[in-house]
Amino acid sequence: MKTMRLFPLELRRLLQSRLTWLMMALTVLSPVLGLVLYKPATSTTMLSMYLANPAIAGGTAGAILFGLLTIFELDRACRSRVDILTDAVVSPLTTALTRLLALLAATVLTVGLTMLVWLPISAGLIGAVFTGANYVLAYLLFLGLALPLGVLAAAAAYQFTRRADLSIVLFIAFCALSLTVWAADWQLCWLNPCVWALSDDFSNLRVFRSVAWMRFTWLLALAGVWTISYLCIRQYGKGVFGSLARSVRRLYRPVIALALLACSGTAYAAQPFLDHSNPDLTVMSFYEIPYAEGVTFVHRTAQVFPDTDAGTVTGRASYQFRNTSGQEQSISFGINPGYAISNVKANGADIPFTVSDYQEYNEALLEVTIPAEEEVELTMEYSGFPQESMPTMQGGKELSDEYLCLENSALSPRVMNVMPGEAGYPAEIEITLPENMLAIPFGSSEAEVVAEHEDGTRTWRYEHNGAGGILYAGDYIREDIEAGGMTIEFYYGRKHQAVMEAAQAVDAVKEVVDYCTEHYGSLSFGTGETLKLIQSRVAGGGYATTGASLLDEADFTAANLGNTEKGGGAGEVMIHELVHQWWGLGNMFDTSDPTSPWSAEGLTVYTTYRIVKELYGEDYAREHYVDQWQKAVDDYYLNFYVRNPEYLEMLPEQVQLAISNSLSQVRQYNEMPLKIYKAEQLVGGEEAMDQILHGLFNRELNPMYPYLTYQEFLSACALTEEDLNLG
Amino acid sequence: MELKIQNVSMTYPSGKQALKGLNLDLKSPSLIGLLGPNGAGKSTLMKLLVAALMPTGGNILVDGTPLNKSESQLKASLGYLPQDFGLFDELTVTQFLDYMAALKGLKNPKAAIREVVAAVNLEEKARAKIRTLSGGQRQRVGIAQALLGDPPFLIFDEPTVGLDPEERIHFRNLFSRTAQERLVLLSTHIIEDVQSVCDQIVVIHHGTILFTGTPEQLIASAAGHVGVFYEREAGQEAGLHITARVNTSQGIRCRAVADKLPPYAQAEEPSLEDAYLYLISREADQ
Amino acid sequence: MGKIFRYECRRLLWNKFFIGLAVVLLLYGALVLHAVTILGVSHTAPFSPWSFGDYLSRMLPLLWIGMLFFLTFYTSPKARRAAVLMDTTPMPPKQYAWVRCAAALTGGVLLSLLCMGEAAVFYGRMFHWYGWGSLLLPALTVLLPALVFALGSGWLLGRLRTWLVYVWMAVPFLLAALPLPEVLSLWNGRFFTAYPLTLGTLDPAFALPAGAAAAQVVLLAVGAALLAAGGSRRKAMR
Repeated sequence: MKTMRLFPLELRRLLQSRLTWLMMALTVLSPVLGLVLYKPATSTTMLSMYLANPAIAGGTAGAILFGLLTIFELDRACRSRVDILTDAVVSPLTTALTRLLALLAATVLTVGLTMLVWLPISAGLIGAVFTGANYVLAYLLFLGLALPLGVLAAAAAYQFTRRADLSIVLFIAFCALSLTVWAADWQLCWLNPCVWALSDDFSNLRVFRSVAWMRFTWLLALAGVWTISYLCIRQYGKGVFGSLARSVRRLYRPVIALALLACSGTAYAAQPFLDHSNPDLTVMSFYEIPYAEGVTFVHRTAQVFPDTDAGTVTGRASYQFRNTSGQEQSISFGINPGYAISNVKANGADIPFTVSDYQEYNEALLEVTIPAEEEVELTMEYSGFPQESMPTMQGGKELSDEYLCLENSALSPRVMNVMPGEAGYPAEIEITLPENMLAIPFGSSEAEVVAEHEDGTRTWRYEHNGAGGILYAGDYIREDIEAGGMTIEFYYGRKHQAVMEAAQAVDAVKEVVDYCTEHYGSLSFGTGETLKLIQSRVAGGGYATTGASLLDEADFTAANLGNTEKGGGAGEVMIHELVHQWWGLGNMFDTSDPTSPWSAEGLTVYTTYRIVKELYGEDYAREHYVDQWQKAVDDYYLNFYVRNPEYLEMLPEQVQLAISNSLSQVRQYNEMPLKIYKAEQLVGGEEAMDQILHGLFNRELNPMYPYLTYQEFLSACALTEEDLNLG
Repeated sequence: MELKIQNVSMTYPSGKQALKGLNLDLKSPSLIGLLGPNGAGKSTLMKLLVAALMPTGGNILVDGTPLNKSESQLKASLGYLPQDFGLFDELTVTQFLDYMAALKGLKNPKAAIREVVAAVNLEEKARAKIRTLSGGQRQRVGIAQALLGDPPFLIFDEPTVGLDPEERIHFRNLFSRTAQERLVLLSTHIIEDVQSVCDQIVVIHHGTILFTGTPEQLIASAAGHVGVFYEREAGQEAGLHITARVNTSQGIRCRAVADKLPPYAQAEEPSLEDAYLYLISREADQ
Repeated sequence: MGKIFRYECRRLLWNKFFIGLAVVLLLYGALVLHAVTILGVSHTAPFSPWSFGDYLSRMLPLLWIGMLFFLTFYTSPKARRAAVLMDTTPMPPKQYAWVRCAAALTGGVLLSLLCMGEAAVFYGRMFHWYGWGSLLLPALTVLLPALVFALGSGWLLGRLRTWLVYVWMAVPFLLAALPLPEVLSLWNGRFFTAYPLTLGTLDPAFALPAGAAAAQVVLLAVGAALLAAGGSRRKAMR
């Protein structure tokens, strides 16, 4: 084929141009933007900061640069009038295809170079949690595939308009759309994929799959658009439509263009990742479904088979109900919108069922009519790719042989309108997992292995009481720590072992739990005997339930553990994050008010200081805590807006909020600990303060407003706000 | 205006000797055709004459003053069209000429621009951006800027490249009219242009002057050295240079130049082209 | 002379490139003003000479690049081809070079004014603050030596090799990464954040330590000298 013969020539010509090398060099450099300027991934995991952001920024800049290079290169032939010569020998269509292929080959070369250059830098920045697979996938998907998209879009713009200036405007507008209006729409932001976080310790297949889907959707779309623009390439002195009419005579060409566009449209519409939940989060219609009359819950079993390669779930669920109404009853279940339901049987007979199109809070409604028999055993099968609700925070439904989290209806259909029986909602869940994964029910129950299979999988079983339930499983390391009179089961990702050991995590857990239990009392959500501390995949925060507490991996990254604002060293940040189990979870603090320094951080930083003082001595604690607080507070009081609040008030509301938020950080992390430190001296020393804090931790809660307030703290200290004024 | 080129040599830093001891007198009014094969040294000579290069040997005198002392005087009286030049594409024709007029320090640029734009037939394109012009039109802008301000000394390097035959004739006449009171140096490969307008010819080859004189003198020097014959009659004589082959009903008829014509060749009246080719071929044979 | 200057300005400033550069500059300026300057530097007001100087220091790399881009109008291969015609005119090469430099400098000044105008609008809109007079000294201190040096060095480099001008564009980024001594801290913008803290008063008036002032004067002088050297350099053999 002529194109194949011309391709090496065209590529050589392209690579002889200095501009090409300039664009390539700039693209290779551009990931640096993600380290300093453009940081779309907001999470603080190492991979978000040092892999996702550079790769996305590099992809964005590279696509724009290569788009401009494409326009320049396509226009060059016209500008230098060499097209008159080449068109006489080769069809302009062949030339266009050859040029496109050469430009695409240049993008491949650039991606290869970029990956080579950034490999040691990324490995150095990311540290122990760096893996080659994450690196390759992130750079290929976030950066690599952006470049051909830029080339295709720019080439199409030029081939339609045949004017460099107009093409540049169109191309830049197309890029700007992705960076602004489409930025929050994960399927439309072709340039800058919607990635908010990459996990350091667990896999990121879900995020990678979603970005790959978006990229391929756009590749198909832009390849289709390019093919149409290819048909519009001016020939025989005709205009755009005349040339198009001429080019479509070879029928396969428009057919290919339309097929590409149709495939892209289908990929857009049939994406499997996100559900269509009602965006109005105030609507909770599923909770208003009336209970089925005379039906009570007896028992539930579920066998769940995650396919860790495909990221899908297959399961069988069986429900036993007592129906004393003597009538058929409609039972509602919440199911994950990605699941298909089949084989629904009541007492062995097929029964009809419907699944609603309407979705709410990541659930669709499955309605089943059970017969008018007293004992009803309802069985069903479900399978599919679990879907998520938040396009801008994807990754929660990660499912791989390193990690999975199946919550409520993603684990098995969740019954919604059946009253609990005498034993509540007893359930027995079995899940079959690869042998390296530990199953960790989020709660007080323990999972045990009941079968080991020849294919290297193991079946875990646990009991649970509740209509839903959350199960974590992953490649975890479990450390049992005796502390505070109970056993702490500390689970953290295997990849995080080096970081956790460097931060002396086990010691920190023990110190903190011992110290806090002794000084403030046992954790309210511990069972008294055991407490699971589970490091979760990055999720935007932690939470707790009876017997288990979740620690977000983002709080334990090497970078965060080196954050001096929270403590002097890695181990101290570990202590800080663990102290949050006492001061920060559950009902302890209301959402923080940016105008006030009172928040979970004040007491947490203060307690950290106390523990560090006990561990490393007074001098160390003073230098790294009290003196640092004092310096930050001094800086705070010198701040222009603090001294001249009238100027802050002049600013637009959003700007005001951003500035006061950053100032309130200082107040929460430094001013408040210093105030508590001052209070400690005013109430008569550390012991007296410990008494007060013990009292506050174990106070009787007001169900209307269960949160600990500053006023309560002051009253407990018998001090006024003025007493604690600094300065 | 008078230019004296005395024993001028030019050796480039690369070691290439472009001109070897050139001697030439140019006096206005005159239209001098500069002929020579590619690489003969024509462009180097022109660059020396416009003070774009300094000779490595010899002197160039402008009205008796050495060029290095009268550069500004020379430039004030010079119009130059190089073979390869660029224009400011973002300006219109008039703006560009206005810019050049300012550089040349013309007192009444508007009238001068109007005049040269009319002379090169670009009135319709006077307000067009230069980037929109065709190759021939750009060439005409180049000629116009050289004519700007009526300079007494004009140098044109391949001025009719890219022009259609009608335009070429127009410019030939223009150069001829211009030369009535000026010194015009015209370098070209198109012998026809030289024959029709030049009153003096300078032939350069390998950096030396082969001939200076009128076209008639050049033609006369080739008398008896041009002949025609049928190819079938031809032998293998050395020194016979075929300049044309025409298919006729009686066979292929050849025209050739030679120091000594073979007996089967019938002598013909030489043209300027024959004479030029004879001169160059004789040099090559030596 | 005036006419040539006007035409050169027209060539440099009346085109899509200049408009694009201005748009990029304004967008980047807005980003800096809204993300950094608004917070004020070293406990001073966002509209203090220190914060304004910090803003200009952050804009300087783009102004530097813009300035050098103007020079590419004179040093590109296309421009060199046009220069064949210009070189044969009686215009003295030195004067011609000065006029062209003046046009490039005008471009740089215009871009600088755009930056300053943007800051002025920002201060007016956000803080109803209009005391622009106090900002002139930091503006001159930061911009004038840097722009003249960019012009002089770029002019000379461009005459040697066109691509050197493009390489030269990376200099501010290199300087930002280098740990420069205190006297040179104006060259990477750290002066405005570090020096006021050493003055020991709140909201100090703008002051320049002798060392830094000398460094700027030297920069200006070297720039001017390079400009003179580049302008008067006789063309070599082609």
